Amino acid sequence: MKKDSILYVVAFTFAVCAIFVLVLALANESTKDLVEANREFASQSAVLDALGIAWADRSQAATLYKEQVSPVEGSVPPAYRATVDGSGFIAVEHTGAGLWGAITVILAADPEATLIRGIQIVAQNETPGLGGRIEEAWFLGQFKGEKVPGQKIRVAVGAESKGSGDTDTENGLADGVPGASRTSQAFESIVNDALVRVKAIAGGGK
Amino acid sequence: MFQKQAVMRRVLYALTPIAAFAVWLYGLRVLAVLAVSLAVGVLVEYLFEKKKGGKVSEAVLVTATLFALSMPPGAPLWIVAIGIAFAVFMAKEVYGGFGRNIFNPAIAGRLFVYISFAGVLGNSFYEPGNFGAAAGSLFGKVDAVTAVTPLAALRAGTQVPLLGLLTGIRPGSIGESSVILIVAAAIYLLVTKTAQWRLMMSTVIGGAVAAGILMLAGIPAALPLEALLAGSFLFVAVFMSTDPVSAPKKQPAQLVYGLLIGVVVVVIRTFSLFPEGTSFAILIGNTFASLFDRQATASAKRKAGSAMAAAAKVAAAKADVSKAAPSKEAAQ
Amino acid sequence: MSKTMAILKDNLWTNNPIFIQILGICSTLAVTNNLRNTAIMTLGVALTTAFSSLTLSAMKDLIPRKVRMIIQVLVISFYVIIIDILLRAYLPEVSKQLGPYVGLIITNCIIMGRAEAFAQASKPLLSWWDGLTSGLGYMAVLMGIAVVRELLGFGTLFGIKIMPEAFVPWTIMIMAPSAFFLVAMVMWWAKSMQAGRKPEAKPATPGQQATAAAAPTTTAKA
Repeated sequence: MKKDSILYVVAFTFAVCAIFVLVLALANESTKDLVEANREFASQSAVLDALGIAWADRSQAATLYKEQVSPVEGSVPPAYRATVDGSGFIAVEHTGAGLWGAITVILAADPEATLIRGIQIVAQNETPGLGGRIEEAWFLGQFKGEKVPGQKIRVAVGAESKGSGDTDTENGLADGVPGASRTSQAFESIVNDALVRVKAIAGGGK
Repeated sequence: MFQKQAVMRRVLYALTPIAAFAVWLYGLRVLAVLAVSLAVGVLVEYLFEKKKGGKVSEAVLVTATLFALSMPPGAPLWIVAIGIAFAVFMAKEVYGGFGRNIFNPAIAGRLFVYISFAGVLGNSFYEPGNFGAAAGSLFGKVDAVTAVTPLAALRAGTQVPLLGLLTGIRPGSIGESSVILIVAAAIYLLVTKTAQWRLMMSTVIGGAVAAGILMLAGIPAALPLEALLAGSFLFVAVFMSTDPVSAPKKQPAQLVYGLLIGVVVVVIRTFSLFPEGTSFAILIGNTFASLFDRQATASAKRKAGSAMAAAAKVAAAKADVSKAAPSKEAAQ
Repeated sequence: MSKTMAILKDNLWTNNPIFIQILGICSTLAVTNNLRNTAIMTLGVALTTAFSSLTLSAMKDLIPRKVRMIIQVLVISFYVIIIDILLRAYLPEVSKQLGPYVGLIITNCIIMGRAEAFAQASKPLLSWWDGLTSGLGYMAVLMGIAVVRELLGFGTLFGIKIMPEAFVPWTIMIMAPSAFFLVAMVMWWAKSMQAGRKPEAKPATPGQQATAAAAPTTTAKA
């Protein structure tokens, strides 16, 4: 058969595609369970971290999660109730628009949404090294135990942000990531929307 | 060792009273900032020119002085050194030295440090007066209590005394303060034909018109017209937009260039997160300068071309008439 | 010099993908503010280039010319997806960190450039070596830039604090513009190094030098 004949070209392309796609499908199938386990662990550990529950390894995280956290029935995206150190908290998963794509966070707060217990990021597609720095400990740590005056927190951007983290937990203010004002502003509204949802869940909503 | 440039000398003369006044406002620290800026700027240019066998231009003195005057008075000296080194190296020498740079080096250096160290520089403003005594020390405290610049105050909605803006006794960058001295310098530069009046005027008009329109349109964040006296707008209009190297050379291009800078300053001040937009505006203007020149040349050629064509037509028509006449005769 | 050494030198220095061929600049601007991401990204590119070159070279006698680019893209994306799957299964943290960048390996011009320019007409193992060294040439430059950017932008290297406490980070180094300056400086340095070597082999005539010196003036005026 000639290499330039239509039949050869079509058959060759088809065969090559079939082979490569088959290999990819096999690879995907064989790692599916592992990926699923990773995903579940990531979401459970994020909920635990947001609630401020310490865990040492994967199995302990799974046990602690089972013991202390109870998902709110039927709420989409998921919400959780948990009792930590004798007081009740609500954790919600919330997705909002970032600069490049959606940012999904888990936010834990008291049922009145006046005190943030903690925030963890589940997924984000912000610029690595710029907006992506919202995942860093200094940034997320600012929200730990932060009071929420008037149902809203604020993330400082531009020249107002010191870029090193705001240690005052009373003012409802956090420093934005330097050079990533838009992501920081987006994060502010995501947190505020999540706080609204916490209140709704506490009031018996889904 | 210096290449003599009379134009640059006159700019330096025009800057001297402004610098002297700044010393009274902010203390001897101003001299330290100037000294570091000049020393590092000349050194970087010298190292480059030595390799190429050229001379250090006097333009670098202007660049270094303008850069120093655009710094906040409390700017750490190491930031000044980094900024001017970047300005002379990255914005001037890599393009081939004096006369070949696309961007105004002083502005490029200022923006480099302004973006890199926004937090530090933003906290480096302090209250002016009596050789820096108002801030508590003759040399100016390095970690002085931060003063609110008029631009920031206007943004926050507070009134700013007009007298302070005119005399320059208000917090701000080292050289941008005194409206009176800057206007005097502008007159000197215009009389000695050192700077182009078109560039200066169109920048100011562009800013004023844009600010006026935004105010009339009722944009809540728009600053009042007095804001043009605050910040570094006038300083930039007089000394930066008139830079003979990075500004366009053709007359209509210069008008468009100035207008663009003025409008962009106001737009950035109003809509961006940065309180001051003059540096960005100059860089944007620089970017388009050669395009404006090209368009101006092209349209001038087109005009000249069509004028010539018209003249040729008239001439041809006349020739036709004169030709037609004898031919008629011939026909008869 | 043996052929493998010649290829190594060519890809690392005389024909480096970044500063001579100016390929793969997009990722240079994007990832180089963080050493760890840069290391993983460039390793991914090096491996993808190596193995896609190997595969395409092995198949080269079978591929019809009409569809060769389609086949190249298919093979390249195959390796990129394999890397993505492996990272998700065995290094979930890294996978999360890199996010969209793994997928973006496919857009790196170096990979297809080597497939077109080298693997099409060379033996499989040699193509593999060529792909790998091209990736290493890319990696060397990016890691160099990333060292400067992370050190000045964050004061850290691989996330470990290097600079003293009083160090003020240079925000611009975190942002893409600084990569422009740094890539330009690397190109300048490399080209002047290479130009400095050339006269030994082939001395330029004075006339040529004069035109070379005059050239910048004309461009500046134009």
